[in-house]
Amino acid sequence: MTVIETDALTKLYKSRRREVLAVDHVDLSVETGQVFGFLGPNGSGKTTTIGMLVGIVTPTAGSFRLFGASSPRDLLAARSRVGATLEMPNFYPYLSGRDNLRIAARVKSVDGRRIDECLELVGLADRAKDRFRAYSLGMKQRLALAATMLNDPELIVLDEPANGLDPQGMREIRQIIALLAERGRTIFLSSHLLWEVERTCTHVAIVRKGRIVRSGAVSEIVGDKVTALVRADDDEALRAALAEYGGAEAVRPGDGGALVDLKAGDLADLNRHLAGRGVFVSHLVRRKQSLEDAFIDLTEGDFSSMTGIASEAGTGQAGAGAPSEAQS
Amino acid sequence: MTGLAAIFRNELLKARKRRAFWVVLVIFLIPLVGESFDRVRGEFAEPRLPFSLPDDWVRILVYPSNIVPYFLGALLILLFAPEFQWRTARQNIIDGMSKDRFYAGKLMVLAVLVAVFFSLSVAVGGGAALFSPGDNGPDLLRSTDLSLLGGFAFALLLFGSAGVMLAATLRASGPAVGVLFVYTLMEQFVGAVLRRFDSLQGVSDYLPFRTFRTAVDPRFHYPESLAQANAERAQAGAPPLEYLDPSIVAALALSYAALFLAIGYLAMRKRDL
Repeated sequence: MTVIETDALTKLYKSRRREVLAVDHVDLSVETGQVFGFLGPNGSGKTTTIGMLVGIVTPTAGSFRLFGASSPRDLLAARSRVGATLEMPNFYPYLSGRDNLRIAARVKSVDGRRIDECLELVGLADRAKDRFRAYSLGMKQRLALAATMLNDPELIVLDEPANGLDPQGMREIRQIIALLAERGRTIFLSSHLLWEVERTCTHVAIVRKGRIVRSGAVSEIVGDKVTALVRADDDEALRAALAEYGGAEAVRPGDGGALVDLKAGDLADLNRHLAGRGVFVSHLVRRKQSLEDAFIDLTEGDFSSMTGIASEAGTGQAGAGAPSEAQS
Repeated sequence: MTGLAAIFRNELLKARKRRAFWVVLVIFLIPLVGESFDRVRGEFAEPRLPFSLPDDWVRILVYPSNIVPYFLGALLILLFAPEFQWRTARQNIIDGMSKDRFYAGKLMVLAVLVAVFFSLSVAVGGGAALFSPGDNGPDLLRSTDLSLLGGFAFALLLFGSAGVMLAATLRASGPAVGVLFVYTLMEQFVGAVLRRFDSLQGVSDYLPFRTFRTAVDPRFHYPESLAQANAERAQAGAPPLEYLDPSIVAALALSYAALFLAIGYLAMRKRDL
């Protein structure tokens, strides 16, 4: 079943001085059970798109369906099957975590007993009486997840859920998302953290300047291309030998050596070829393409801010989420 | 769809736990209780100056009718506008409440607060007069007193509606409170300018703040007060005071309140959150 379907969804912000096309004819389709990553840099239109889906931003053009509903009345009913939080967690700072959930539960017409279950699930039961303003950012994000889950939604929409979290907080959020996915929920997750999306999502849409540049299964987008990083003392000889290598799709300089896109991904064959030409490598490393590599290919590398964030986050995770690099 | 009872309970929880609500309420109550206490004490000290009903309704309502509407307008702004800064208004909509229902919740707060401020003002002042030692008249409320109380209720509604409108349109409590107070000053200035021109003299009577001033002016409700004031003005060589017909003032107050609430509703409905 198609949970989210957009058709040329567009949002144009007009002011006296300028016009900003925040979302430009976005076509999306999210099916039941998918963990769908909506990936793009800050300001690319992710939050505006989600805002239109959840009813806080009015589209300028185009249309969308939630659970097949498109009229305002039906959409209101369809939204009762959705749990969503946008950007930062939005709560009353002077109220306790429990009171905040009480308000959300009444809005969602949910039994108050669900509050304790959700607090338990996100590990906030002990701090439920504390005021929201006293929570750490990680706790605020977890409370937002608890609020999202109050009505046991079929579709969970999370906008930058790992924003501002430390590695531990990110791991906790990821675990909760994985748990929800295991329970069969459809998750629509926006993020600018490439590695986070790669680890968490089954499907992804990459958005750039309000437009979808690619969407599909993560495995399709990442592909199975293997690139080798080769270094040798004699650069000229290395270049000449690589030019003669038939197993290469492409060869380019990079990272202090040469990057070789391999047709068959066979590093031993490449090593044999180089040794046969009298070139003995000082460094031979397999690099599997990550979502980040695919992303840069798709977006012509104009996302320096994102890749920087991705690398930083990857380092924070002790390489867990960074582009994989394995010694051959 | 979120039920109105649930919305009301949420609004109650939000207000009840908000420090600003209690601070404004205490600031409003201290002079009200203090003044009433003073009058009762004064009657004990000087029995020839009784504090009794219905003669003292004007004295009782001087403070509430001139000051309390401002408190109410500011309080509504303080309770409503931060919902945009905290983005809780947005979250309520995301959680499935319609914008109409969200706004309806604020109208419930307006209605409840108008009732609370009106009842407290009347109960504290009137109660003190009732229980003070002086004899009260056979009628505790004359038609003129009822008219003054009605004017006070209209004034509360007018300022409360203005507060709701400013909160919904400006979406920030500081600027909204500022605009509320600056407007009242500006209108007095504009009114003074208009009164200098013969052809525009009457126009100022129809402005919102002037409507409020008229609605709570004892001379508008009590013919004997008006006669006395005009006699004094005649002695001073000033033209007599003239007021609009009471039904026109009531219609103006209600129309302005409806207009303010409609503007707030449109801002809530049309603008993105």
